[in-house]
Amino acid sequence: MTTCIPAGSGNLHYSVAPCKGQGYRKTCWVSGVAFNRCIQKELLWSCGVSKFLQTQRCNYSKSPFSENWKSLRTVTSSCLRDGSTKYFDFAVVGSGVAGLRYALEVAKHGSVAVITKAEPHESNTNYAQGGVSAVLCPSDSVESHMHDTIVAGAYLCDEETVRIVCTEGPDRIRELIAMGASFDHGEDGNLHLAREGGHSHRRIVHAADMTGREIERALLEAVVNDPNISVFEHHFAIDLLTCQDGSDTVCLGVDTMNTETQEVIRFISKVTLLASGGAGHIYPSTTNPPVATGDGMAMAHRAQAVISNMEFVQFHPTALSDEGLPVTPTKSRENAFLITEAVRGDGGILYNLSMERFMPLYDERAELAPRDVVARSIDDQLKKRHEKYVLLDISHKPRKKILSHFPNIAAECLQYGLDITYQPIPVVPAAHYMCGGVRAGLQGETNVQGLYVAGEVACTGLHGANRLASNSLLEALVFARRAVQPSVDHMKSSKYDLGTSNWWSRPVVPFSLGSEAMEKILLMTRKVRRELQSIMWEYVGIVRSTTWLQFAEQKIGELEAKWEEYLFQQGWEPTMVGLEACEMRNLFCCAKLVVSSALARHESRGLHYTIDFPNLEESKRLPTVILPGSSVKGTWSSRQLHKQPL
Amino acid sequence: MASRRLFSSTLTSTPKLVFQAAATTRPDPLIRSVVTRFMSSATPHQEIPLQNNKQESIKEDLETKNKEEEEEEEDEDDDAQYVDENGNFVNKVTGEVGGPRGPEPTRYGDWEQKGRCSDF
Repeated sequence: MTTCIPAGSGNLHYSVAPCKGQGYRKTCWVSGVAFNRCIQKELLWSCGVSKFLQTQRCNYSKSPFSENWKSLRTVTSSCLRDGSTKYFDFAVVGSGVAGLRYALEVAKHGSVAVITKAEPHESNTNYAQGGVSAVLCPSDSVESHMHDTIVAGAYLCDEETVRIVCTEGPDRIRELIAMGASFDHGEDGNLHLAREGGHSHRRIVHAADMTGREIERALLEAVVNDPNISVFEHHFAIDLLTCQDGSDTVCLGVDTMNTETQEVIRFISKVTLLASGGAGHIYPSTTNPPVATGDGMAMAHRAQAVISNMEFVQFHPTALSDEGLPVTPTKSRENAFLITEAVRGDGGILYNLSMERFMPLYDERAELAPRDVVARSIDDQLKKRHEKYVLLDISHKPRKKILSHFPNIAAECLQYGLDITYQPIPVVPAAHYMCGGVRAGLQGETNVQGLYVAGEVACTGLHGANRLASNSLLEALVFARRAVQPSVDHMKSSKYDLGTSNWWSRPVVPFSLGSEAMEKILLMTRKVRRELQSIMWEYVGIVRSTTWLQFAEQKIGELEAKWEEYLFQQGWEPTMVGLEACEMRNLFCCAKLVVSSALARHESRGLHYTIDFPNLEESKRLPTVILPGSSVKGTWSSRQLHKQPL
Repeated sequence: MASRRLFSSTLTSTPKLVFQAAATTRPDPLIRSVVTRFMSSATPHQEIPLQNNKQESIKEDLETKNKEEEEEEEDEDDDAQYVDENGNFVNKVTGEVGGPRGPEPTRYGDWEQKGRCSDF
């Protein structure tokens, strides 16, 4: 850890968590071209490569792109031998609010590819059903919104970022309305603003309790109607395509796999926006849809982007636990059903499986203690007692009231044989949101040239150590918009020619392996995913300790090695790709980032609570930063496919 | 802070958590002993989960007792909401048109729809 400088100057100062074996210095990268001539894997990652770089520099064409980029693209694609490389000015990974908002804007300046791994509407955005926060009431103020954000963030937020988001938010909402998103109004015709926990003023804009869906709908409609935007559904992004330009890493596109046709499609783009969302599936219970496997964070880390604040994972304390239901759901739930705080507010009591009421042990407010206290208490109970869930009992309340206030819970539980008017509800905490991610500047820029980030995948400094309710959609909107101008400028000055598509070896779909080997790999991968999730929940959960984190680090390392060995034993080669395998390597990558970050923070702040450092430390009020990895013992998950050792 | 009471009270000195790398047990002897002490002195609200029919009879009693209270609350709810001439549901208290029926979704801080939390 370096010496600390208090935040507040408007610049982000870092407490640095160096990667294993490396100090704080620029680590070594190898150009895409030079890689093909490189023999030793050690040479790739040791500092001796700097001399190597001097003699093996990329020779980039100096000719600028033609003014008629669009027409050039269409000509080129018709000339391609196999159609597996596509050329766009802008490539967007992810089709949530950040990706689509950005796409719509940059489409005014060039061609856009929106790459999404499932259906376009399958994103965390679609599940964000509360609202968007913004100062839209005359009696509200930017300062108030800023204050609420910074308090919620446990003072780890970047002040400038907070100011920008709170200031620009209202305009972003107005634009959404202009684009056709319809939000609830009051009788007076003005937007109806609700007040969520943590906000000192009514400022949540919402759409009949389906805000995320409504925003997504409006943006998708506009995207579909935009002739400059091409949406590539069921295209899983594998790795960013990067190379060196002097000391800079430059992103020139992204390799993807069409999961429907099993075809690798390479996208060459002058600018790439990562808007790939969160990584909830590193945990066994999460509110995130299945697509949230941290793909963007992992790809960015492999591409030498700086990652920040990954230790701040937001959990909800009371998600419905399928394990505790009388009838086990036949189909495993894709995303967790969160039980509202209102159940506790209305008198619900929490019990462990011995029917002991435990909340009074942790806080005199008992069940009405703040959510993070409840989450930690439940987590502590589960760990101590080695149990899978606790019980939330509202059955002592009048049946009619329960059914009138909580019909969703009642119906859901009844499906599986549980009557909440008689029986307690089994609940367990669920991972919900990643406050950390790819380190972004004030315009969504990263340390990789031509690579921008927005939304949950980014760490902009807005959320700090804990996200304020309804600020995530807002952050996505603001940063997606802010990344537009620098993207356009970068696109116009981009100097790489069409020959770039051959600089990197292509990923390979493993047809040669045969179905038996593939089946074995699939089964093992699913098993390993569950094991990883289990380790994360047991040892990198809500209540942490240094010993548990170190244990997790070790266990994850062993699990990853075991999995990779199995894969390669079955004949898997390092440049092979498959959806499950690539998701697994991304999950490993994100899990390791969370563990490293958690180990690096020697205090408890916001969402990161550790019994070894249970208090806030003013001197530690700094973001956690993970620099690009240079470990000599790189794993398959830690290297881009086109940089795998031979 | 009260919320940290249980966790931090054990840490009068740097805890030496005994840990065996290969073991599956969790290394927290200090906290475990503290929690055990607390647990044994706590009075549980409900010791055994009751059988369904027993619960039912108790429930009926409770319902009778709470009936007046319930009716009062229902009346309050009815007054707070109505349907306007366009068929839109209007919340008198908040002035929201076309919003959700029943209690305010954010009344306990999070955003809930009929019991399911969708944002917090």
